[in-house]
Amino acid sequence: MVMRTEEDVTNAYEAFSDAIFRHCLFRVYQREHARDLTQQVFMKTWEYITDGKSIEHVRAFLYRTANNLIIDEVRKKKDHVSLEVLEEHGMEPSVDARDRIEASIDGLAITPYLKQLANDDREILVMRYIDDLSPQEIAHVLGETANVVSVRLHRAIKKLRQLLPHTYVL
Amino acid sequence: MFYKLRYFRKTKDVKLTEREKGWMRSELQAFMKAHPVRVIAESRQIDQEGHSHFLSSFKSMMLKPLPITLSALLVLGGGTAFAAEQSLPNEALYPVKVQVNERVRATFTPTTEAKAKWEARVAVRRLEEAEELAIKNKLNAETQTTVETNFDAQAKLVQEKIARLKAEGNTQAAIDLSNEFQASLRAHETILVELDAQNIDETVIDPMIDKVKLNVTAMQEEGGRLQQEQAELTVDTQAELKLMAQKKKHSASEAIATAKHSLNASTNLNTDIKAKATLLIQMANTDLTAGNDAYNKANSKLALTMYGRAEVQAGEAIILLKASHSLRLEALPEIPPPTDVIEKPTEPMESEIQETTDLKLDMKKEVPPTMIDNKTEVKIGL
Repeated sequence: MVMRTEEDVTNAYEAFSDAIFRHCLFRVYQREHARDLTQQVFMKTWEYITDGKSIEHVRAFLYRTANNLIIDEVRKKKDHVSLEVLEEHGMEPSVDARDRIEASIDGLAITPYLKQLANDDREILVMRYIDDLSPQEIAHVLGETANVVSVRLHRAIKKLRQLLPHTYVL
Repeated sequence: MFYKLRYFRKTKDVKLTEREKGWMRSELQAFMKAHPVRVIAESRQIDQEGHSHFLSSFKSMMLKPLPITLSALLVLGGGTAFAAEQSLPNEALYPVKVQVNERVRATFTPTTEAKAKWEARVAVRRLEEAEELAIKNKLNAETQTTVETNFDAQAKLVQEKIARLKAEGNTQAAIDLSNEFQASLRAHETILVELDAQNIDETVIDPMIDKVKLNVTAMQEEGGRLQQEQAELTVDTQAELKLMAQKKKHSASEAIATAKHSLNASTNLNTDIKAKATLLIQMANTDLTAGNDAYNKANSKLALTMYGRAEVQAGEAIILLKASHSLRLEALPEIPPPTDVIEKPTEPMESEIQETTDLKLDMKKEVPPTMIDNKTEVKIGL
């Protein structure tokens, strides 16, 4: 899939908006914020195309753009969401209570444990196990080799295992 | 070997709601249209062809009208200003309509309240333009972007004016304006949905509908907040509140009478529009009755609220009938409904509404289901 037109970007939106939203949500923990970031990802992608460029590796480009935006956010401010708030409210559900909420509460249970990890570890676990990117795709997004990604993944899983309740350790 | 941690499995259920997705899609599409691809080679070619360059500049002017001063209007003359009133996006006089006529009127409107009402009227004019363009098959991506961008800016201005009214201590005027604007938006939302159902290009209609829905929600919330604040204010005398309720009853009764008259006078009315207008009038009557009950029980605050709701609903019916008439939305042939739609509301809806109004009033509660989801409303009766 190559992106160079409005239709291409719209198709990419239909195909990947949920995945990008999930990726952002499990990094910033606030629904509205994740939604804004998702929106920015596709708008920035379009801005890139308006300079006359086309995008060949669409998925990797979108994730890379999302990661860059998230990193900018992290640099601007610290995440003030406390573990207590997360555990009390889960993640922030849809701001508009009248919307039909599709997020499974169970799906958010991993959040408090991810929050305790370093940003790099969290990033790679989210990409592998929530975004379903292959190690090769992750390597492409992060600009590293697949070997380095594998090693980082292994270390991140080990750290996460130590945080999970014993009953859930594989 | 990679393995799935159990906790991660259910994360796949986390996704955007349909509403979020649709709203973001329309925002993205509007953004892309507003920021076209800059193709340098092509523009060089256009520069070599003088007339193409002129046309593209002219088009660009249409999309972003250049500011035209009052002195230019004086030069152009009043006839031009009058003719401009009928113009639509992409037509030669449209910049005069938007940049001169509307701005001049805003400048010379004396009070904050009157200015606020005018800005609300301007926002509605954008929707009327979209409807007119749709009827004439001229609502394309270009004109839709113009209308939507201008409507968006205007709707924000209305919100600012409402905030200003409140800041000036004129809370009732802020509430009234928020309710009136909401009624106008909902009426035009119905019209746009009806045009959508008539196979007007949905890629241009849908973003407009979404935009209007967003503003309806914003107005509902703002109106609810204002009413809540007003309810919490200490009123100096009960007599003052009673007087406000009496005035509101009078205006609500007048609005209902006007709506009924318009409905009875309408011939060959679109079935959906007729059904919706009828229902709105019924609901207005129900709220008026509820207001009378509250007034008789010396609950002037509740009476004021119920009369306000009645007035808004009747107002929506009036706007709906008027817009339907001016757009000549004729009755469509009867088409059997698909099997998966919600049934058209019947008489029991009134009792449901009555039950709702008898309950403790929640200002943030939306209008009964038939008014919320206009996609459902469109399918009803088709």
